[in-house]
Amino acid sequence: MINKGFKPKRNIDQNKKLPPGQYTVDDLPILTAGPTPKIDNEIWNLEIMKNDELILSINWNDLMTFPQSNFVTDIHCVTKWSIFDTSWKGVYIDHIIENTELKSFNGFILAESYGGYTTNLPTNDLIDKKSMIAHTYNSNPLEAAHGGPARLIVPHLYFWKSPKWIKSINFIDTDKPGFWEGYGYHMYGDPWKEQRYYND
Amino acid sequence: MDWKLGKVQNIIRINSRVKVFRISPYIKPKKIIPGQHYDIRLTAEDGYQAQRSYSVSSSPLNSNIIEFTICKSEDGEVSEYLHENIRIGDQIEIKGPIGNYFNWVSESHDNIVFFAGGTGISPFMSMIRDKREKKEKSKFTLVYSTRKITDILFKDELKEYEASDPFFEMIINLTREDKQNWDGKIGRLSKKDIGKIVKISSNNCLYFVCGPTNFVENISNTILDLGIKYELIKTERFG
Repeated sequence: MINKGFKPKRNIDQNKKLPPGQYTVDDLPILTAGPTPKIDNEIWNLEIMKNDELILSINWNDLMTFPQSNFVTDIHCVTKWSIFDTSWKGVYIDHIIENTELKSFNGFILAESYGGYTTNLPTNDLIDKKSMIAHTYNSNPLEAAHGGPARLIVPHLYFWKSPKWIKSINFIDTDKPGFWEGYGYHMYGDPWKEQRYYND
Repeated sequence: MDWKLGKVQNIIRINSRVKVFRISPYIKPKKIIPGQHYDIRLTAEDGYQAQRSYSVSSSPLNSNIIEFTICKSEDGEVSEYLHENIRIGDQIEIKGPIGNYFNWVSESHDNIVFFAGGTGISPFMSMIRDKREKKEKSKFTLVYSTRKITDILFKDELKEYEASDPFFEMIINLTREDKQNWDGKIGRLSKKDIGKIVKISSNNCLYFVCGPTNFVENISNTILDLGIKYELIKTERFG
């Protein structure tokens, strides 16, 4: 349906592709279902589990001993904004699970944040440098409001799949919905297929 | 979820920045839960599309007419088009209702405290109107922060309702009004102000915070600092 007289207000970069229904913003907005928990680096700890059984526990110093990588990527939020060329630094999940039995795990994960937020995704979307535990954004320590001290980023999916204040990643055999997925959002969340809501 | 057509039944100018759009969906939704939103999509002649989410501000009991309270954003291509171009009788694409988290469900808690910043009052109007029509006995406290007197949305309706229901209280806070025009609180809500409100609410209390990002960050983090459990604070931020 055409809305007469409606035209783009923004300059669209023809060299950049935007998923359907998205628009670009310059700065990273803050969208969270609750307040911002304040987690000091000294307290922060990431637990890696397999079907609820602890495999690896990583504190801040441990995280810094893994190979550090830069990740420049576009991100797309289900609330319609996108940002091109965001710059992150952190540790690819591949490095974290490299020497564990999880390296060959083929199933799903349920990631949990400090504060209780959860989200799910297939393990295939986590590996091969598709996701990282990011602690730096645009060369600065990741602010608490944006998920600092560290968040999981999985930028090829809608950004609700990139939980802030990451606390644990549970590798599970059977997929189960996380926070927004349980409230009607899509189980997978591919922005290019516009998988926003459960029946998209 | 499919896009559906709705017809613009009425447009009410509230002030220079805010209009209320009443839209009747051609296919009536089965149920709207207070706090839910719709996506509105616009399509240009060259195929370009833009969509944004807007909270329902009308009572969910009347799903024949869905009301959206929309602030014209300086940089907003959808809100600007709606404000400047849409006329009564026009058709528009809508998708919804969406969202099962930022909702109020009857009798869930004895006390509900709402912190609204500007047009962040929009989803709360749906909840307040639902309570009013159901004669629900939960205590609602609305803390409404906006810039000036002329920015107070639904002022008469809310005042009238406050006078008629002992279980509804409203505290209005203006951030940019002149002292001679307003005898209530002027300036941003302080931790002390928020502390008084949090203190008077009982244990069985749920907090909703909706508005611009800075407002929501400030209020929700203050409530958290005051000792309220994380899971009792629901937030919705603009951008």
